[in-house]
Amino acid sequence: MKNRIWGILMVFVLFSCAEPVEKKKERIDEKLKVITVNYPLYYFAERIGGEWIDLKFVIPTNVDPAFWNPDEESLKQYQAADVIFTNGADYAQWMKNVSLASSRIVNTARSFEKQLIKLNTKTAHSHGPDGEHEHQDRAFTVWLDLKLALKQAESIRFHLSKRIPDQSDGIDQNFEELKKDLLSLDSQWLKGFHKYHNQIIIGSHPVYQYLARAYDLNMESVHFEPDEFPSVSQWSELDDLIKKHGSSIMLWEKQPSPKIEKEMNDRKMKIVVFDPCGNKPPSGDFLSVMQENTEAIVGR
Amino acid sequence: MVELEGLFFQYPDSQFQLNIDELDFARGSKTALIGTSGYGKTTFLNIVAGIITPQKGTVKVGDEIISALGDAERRNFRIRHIGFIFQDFKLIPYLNVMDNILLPYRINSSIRMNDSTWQSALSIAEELGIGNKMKKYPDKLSQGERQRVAICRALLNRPSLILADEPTGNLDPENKQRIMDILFDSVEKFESTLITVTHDHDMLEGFETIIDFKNFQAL
Amino acid sequence: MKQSFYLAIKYLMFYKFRTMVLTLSIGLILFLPLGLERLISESQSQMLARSDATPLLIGAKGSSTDLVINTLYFEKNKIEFIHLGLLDTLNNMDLGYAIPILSAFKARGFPIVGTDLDYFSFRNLSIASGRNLQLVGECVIGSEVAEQLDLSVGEHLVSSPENFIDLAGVYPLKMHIVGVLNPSNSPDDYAVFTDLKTNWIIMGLGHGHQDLQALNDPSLILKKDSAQITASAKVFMYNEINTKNMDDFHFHGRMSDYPISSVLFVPKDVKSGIILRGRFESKELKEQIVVPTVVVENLLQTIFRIKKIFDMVFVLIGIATFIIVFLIVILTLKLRKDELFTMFTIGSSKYKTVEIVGFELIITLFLSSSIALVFYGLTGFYIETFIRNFII
Repeated sequence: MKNRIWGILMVFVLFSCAEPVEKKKERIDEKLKVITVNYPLYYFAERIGGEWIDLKFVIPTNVDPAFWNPDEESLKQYQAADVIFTNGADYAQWMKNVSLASSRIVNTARSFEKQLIKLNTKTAHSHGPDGEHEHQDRAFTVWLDLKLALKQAESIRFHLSKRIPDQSDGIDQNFEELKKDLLSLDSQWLKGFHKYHNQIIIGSHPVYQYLARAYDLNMESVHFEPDEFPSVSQWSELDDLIKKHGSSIMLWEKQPSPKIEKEMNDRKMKIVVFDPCGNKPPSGDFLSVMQENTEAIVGR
Repeated sequence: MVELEGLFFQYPDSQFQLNIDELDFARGSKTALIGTSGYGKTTFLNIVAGIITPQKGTVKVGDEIISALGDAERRNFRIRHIGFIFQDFKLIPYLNVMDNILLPYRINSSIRMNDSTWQSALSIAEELGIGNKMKKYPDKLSQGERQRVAICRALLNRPSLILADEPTGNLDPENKQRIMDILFDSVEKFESTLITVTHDHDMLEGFETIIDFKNFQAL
Repeated sequence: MKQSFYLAIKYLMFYKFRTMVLTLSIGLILFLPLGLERLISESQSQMLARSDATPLLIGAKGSSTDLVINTLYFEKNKIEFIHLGLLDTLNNMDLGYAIPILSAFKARGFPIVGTDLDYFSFRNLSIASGRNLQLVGECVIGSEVAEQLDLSVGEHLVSSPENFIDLAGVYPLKMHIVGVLNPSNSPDDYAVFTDLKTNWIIMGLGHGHQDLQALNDPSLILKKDSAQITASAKVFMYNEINTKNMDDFHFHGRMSDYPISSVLFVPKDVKSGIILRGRFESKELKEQIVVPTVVVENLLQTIFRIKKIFDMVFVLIGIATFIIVFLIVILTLKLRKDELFTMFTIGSSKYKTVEIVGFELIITLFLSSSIALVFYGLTGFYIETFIRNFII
């Protein structure tokens, strides 16, 4: 009986010793889980965090991440992440409807909150005792201002360094390389857009606000889809703008359909494809897409 | 069976005395002790039972001089050889008939209960006509039934000496006779010696010897 | 000895009522001081465990006790709200992380606690059935809530209106139960957890209604032009959030101004906690910061003082009971003189008599102790109630 008790005690002691070692092993293998609300932030995180993070992108490629609603599986990925990089300017509307851990959400636009562009897109309404209110949106394609994009990247660098202090040197180095690329692009755009300063450029969608502000462009917008032939009233709206401003250039997020292209040619409007790259491109990456955008501006 | 010689007993702080020079009770005899209250009849029974010891004299029951025994020895002798029947039955109210009959076995470890004890208790109860009342409690029995339970308790161990103190005192005439008949039958059956204290002169028929106790008391 | 035990049992069973009264009274007397001791010591352990597991609390200036009670026990009391914006400030201090708590409403008597997912991992709360919160309008209920209200995953729980007068102002929200928590032996078992945003909808800071541009009933529109629509208060507010109407829900104003009851702060290390406390003390931040253990220990001091008085009272009751029981035993023996003499006459020794009566007392004490033990065991189920009704 005594021997049995000793035996049990020994087994217990052995198991107790084994456990912490296993747990420690788990910690070393487990990378920081990172997820973002759009592709630009994903790209920055990938460039900066590299092999030291477990980065996920769960947004389907055929949607605009700003208006996407995650399904249960995708939401679980966000809930499981150690850090969620958000865009700021209430970009991901779905976040107001879901439960997440506040401490893991990093607003990459926090440092330039006051520089966000306000829009008046919805009609004011009132009901009940609260009086009139409107739901004011803010423009959210902040990354098209490459200096703001750099601030977003800096925020990612800061938070990754904090969470993976052992790799902060590597993280900093990666960030510097990304910074070089973004600043090079920025300087190319400054030069490239210079020639458009005296023109009113029309945007197919109101997504170029930060681009316009950063590179001193005058822009008006319509609501044209590249693969959907606009209605008569929509063409009429465009015609009014062309007539009013004498515009000759329209920025498109994607190459419009041949039918639209013909209409544009008839109106002597040049099509410039400037992809905001909010979602993952079918080929290439953020930088290559922005390079193509650069060529589209400079080439004209 | 019972022999007394030179017996002298006096209660402390009392003037009552019991003096018996010599008195014998033969085996199988049936003796009635009569006399008015206060003559020491119950005291005599207690001395013969070994409950109290005389200041002088010897009391011999069978081959044992019980007056010379210690308390525990007298108790053990009493429980093995003497059956005591009380006037007011003295059943234990919280024990049923079976448990009352078996009481001696539960209060003295010198006699041990076994399976045959239970059977004996049942047989004797059936003989006395209370076999179907074994689970009943004393408060649910008639006077006559209670006295029969007391008799069963006293006779279970087949005592060689039966001491009965007014066994018919609280009974109606019909039950009195029945009880006396039971007592006499048992005495015959077990060849016991019966000494009975009684005030009931109607029940004296059947006793071989009648002793008037006024002869033994000295004031 | 076996026989004496048998006779003792027979005696006690025959006088059932007497036995019951005696065992119950002695049992109660034995239980009372032990029960109170257990209630208080376990309450103390539970409360201190709860407070020890909560490093720092931040709330509006005022009663620190009310702040601790509201955050740890979700008891509604008069604490002022603070703003959600503080959470962001705290999280960006790099001293630890902050968990928001909003406890202002009830659903069928149980507190609704608005928080975020960090709360569950911090308190080691695990899901017994279903899943954790994902969407606004959902709730996860504690094990006691599920048991007492007989609710399970897939069912609904409606928030209670603040008061009957308030029916017009705050719409009860029908919340979907998506998960039930495993028991944690803490106040979390008695709570209904929701996302903060769900609580704000209950508060009326967010709501969902029909698209005012697309209303069919003209009587719902008071005024309309190209810039503005004014609808009447009659317009239907959704009292439930589902996948069909979720996009119609919206919040007014800036979320950073939205109210929360408190913040549970988990510092990175001891030094960070001290630094944070320093920032509050230097009035860099206008709210108050408390160490829950200190507050709870102060609260418990009062309870201990009262307990000492009870202990003295119990001693006196114990002495009185002992005297009464002793008297009962003596009187009973007197009443049983005849019975005991009969046994003696038949052949029992005095020692045997003592043995029988001794067993009666031992059995009575054993039964009383068992009753006291049962009550003592049951006390464990009432610790939470005791804390809620007598301490907080």
